[in-house]
This record gives sequence, C-alpha cells and structure tokens, in this order.
Amino acid sequence: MPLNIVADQSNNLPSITDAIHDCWFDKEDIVFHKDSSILEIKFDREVPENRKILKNFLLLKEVQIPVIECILRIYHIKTCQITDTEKVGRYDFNKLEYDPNRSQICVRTGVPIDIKVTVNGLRIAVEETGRKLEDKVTWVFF
Amino acid sequence: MVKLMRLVLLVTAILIFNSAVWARIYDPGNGRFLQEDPIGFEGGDVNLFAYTENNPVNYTDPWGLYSENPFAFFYDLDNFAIGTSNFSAGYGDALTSLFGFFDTSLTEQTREELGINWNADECGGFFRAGRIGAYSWAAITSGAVGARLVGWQTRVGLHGPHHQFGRFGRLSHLQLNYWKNGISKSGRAIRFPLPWR
Repeated sequence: MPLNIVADQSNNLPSITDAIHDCWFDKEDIVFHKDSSILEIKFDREVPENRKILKNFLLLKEVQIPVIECILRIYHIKTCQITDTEKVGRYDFNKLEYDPNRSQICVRTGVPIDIKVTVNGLRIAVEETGRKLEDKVTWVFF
Repeated sequence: MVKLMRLVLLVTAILIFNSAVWARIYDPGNGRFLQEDPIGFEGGDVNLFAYTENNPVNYTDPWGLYSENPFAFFYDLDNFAIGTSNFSAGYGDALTSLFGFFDTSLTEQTREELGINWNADECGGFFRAGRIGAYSWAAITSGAVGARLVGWQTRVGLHGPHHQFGRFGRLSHLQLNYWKNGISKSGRAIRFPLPWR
C-alpha cells in the first residue's frame, strides 16, 4: 500500500518520523515554493517489507530491497532557513521536532544540516511519488 | 429502527459488562459475599464467601474474584528502581572490567566492599541490557575515534525506536555518522541496536 501520512497535530509527528528516519536526501532536492508556502524535500526510502531474499549464508541473508522516491511536505511556512556547514550534499533524516511556542519545525539529521522553518500551523505530509529508484542489494543478519 | 437497535445493543452491552465485571454480590452488612467465588479456591481464599481473606485493611476485591493489594503500584515503582540499579550495574561492570578483559570489574569489587553485591541480578534482563548498552557505546565511540584519526568528521547520537532491525523490530539505537567536509555524498551511517524500544 503506498505511503501517505499527514500530521496536523504534534502527537502525530512520530508516525512521520517513523517514515523518514534514516532515509537519505540530496540538498538539491529541497525546494521551497514561496507562492504556496510549502517546503518539499524529496528523499529515497527503502521498503524492507517488499524485500526479496537472494541467498542464505548461516545467519546472513543477501537481500534485494526496493528503493522508492517519497516527498516530505511542510505546509503553511512563514520563514525557511537552511544552513549547510558540512557541504556534503547528501544527508539522512533523524527526526522532526515541533516547538509550538515558537511555531518552529526543525528537521534533525545524522550528517548535520540545519533546516528550521516557522509555520502558521502544523501540517506535514509524507507520500510516495510512485517512482522506483533502484533495487538495493545488501547483506543483513537473520 | 436504527435507534432502537442501538438501544438494544447498549442495554445488552451493559448487562454483559455487569455480569462480566462484578462476579458476585457483596453484602456490606455481614462483610461477606452472597455467592461462592466463581473461580473457587484459585481466588486464594479458603472460605469461598469471605471478602479479601477477612483482611480488608490490606486487600481489596473489586471484581469479586480474588484479593488485590491496592498498594501494588508502589511495588512497581520499587521494581523500577531495582531495574534501574541493575541496568547501571551491568553497564558499569562491562566498562570497568574493560569488556571482560579482567575477571572482575571495579564496580563489582566496590559493591562487594559495600556489601550490596547481592542486590545485583546478573542473570536479569536489566543487567544484560546495561551490558549490551555499554558494549554498543564502546563500539560506537571507538569507531568515532578511529574515523577522526583518519580525518573524517563524526557525530554520535542516541536515536529513538524508528529504525527496523530485522525481526527484532524497531529499537532505539546508537548511530555513528561520518563524513568528509566538502566531499560530495561522503556521508555514511553505522547503527548499533540497544535492547529497548
């Protein structure tokens, strides 16, 4: 079933974090639409539920995991600030934090990039574009 | 018609709930139940009509089935404190024995000196979780130090239970990110699962 999650209350944010955590995105795929006040970040998401096992070796398994393109959208944006000190170009999501007092959403990442937006109201969505990017082949335990 | 069906369903639900929740009727005048305990002697009382083993000061029997201690919540807090101390003991033992390099650890010796070593349950889940946590921390820290020595930037973070670790499901984890400043797409991540959500 295609992924489609919308969070408009802070207690829905963990489901968004579950969907984006450890997914990688390119800085050039961050687009701020000023006219519609939407920030879009395209990212790659592995779908382990659809993996195929290619080989078994003791406790290890060689698996093929499809990688699909998804979009994170943050709506009702007033200001958007992106600070990239590391200049790596590709970053991984950790979590989203929402501060209702300052109406600020921070995108926390593993490789550091500072993405802070202030919003008029909380509305964040994650959805699949339906585009399959690749089949990643890797080894996993069990 | 729909309203009538809803009413019938509601009344039926209330009747089922009543009969399911309160198993028998309590007679406050005589301080006993009017029927025998439906679960028999499994309720813990030798007298099947008695209320809370005739000890209403220390126990309650809200369902008419068995006696409960209303202060069990505080025992749970006590268990939580014991779990936390066992977790700390496991974490400390792994670190101060240099991860098994020495037979006994500094923290274990200290507990022996203080006469409180009996308190640590080395076979328990909290103690093991503490040890695994220490091993994960050591692995990730040594990885970070190694990466720094060869000129990589690193960041270690404690991440919430959002990553799927195979059949173990989503677990909290320590994550090491390493990258080279200004080198495109050089970022990588290593994750060490922690034994809790």
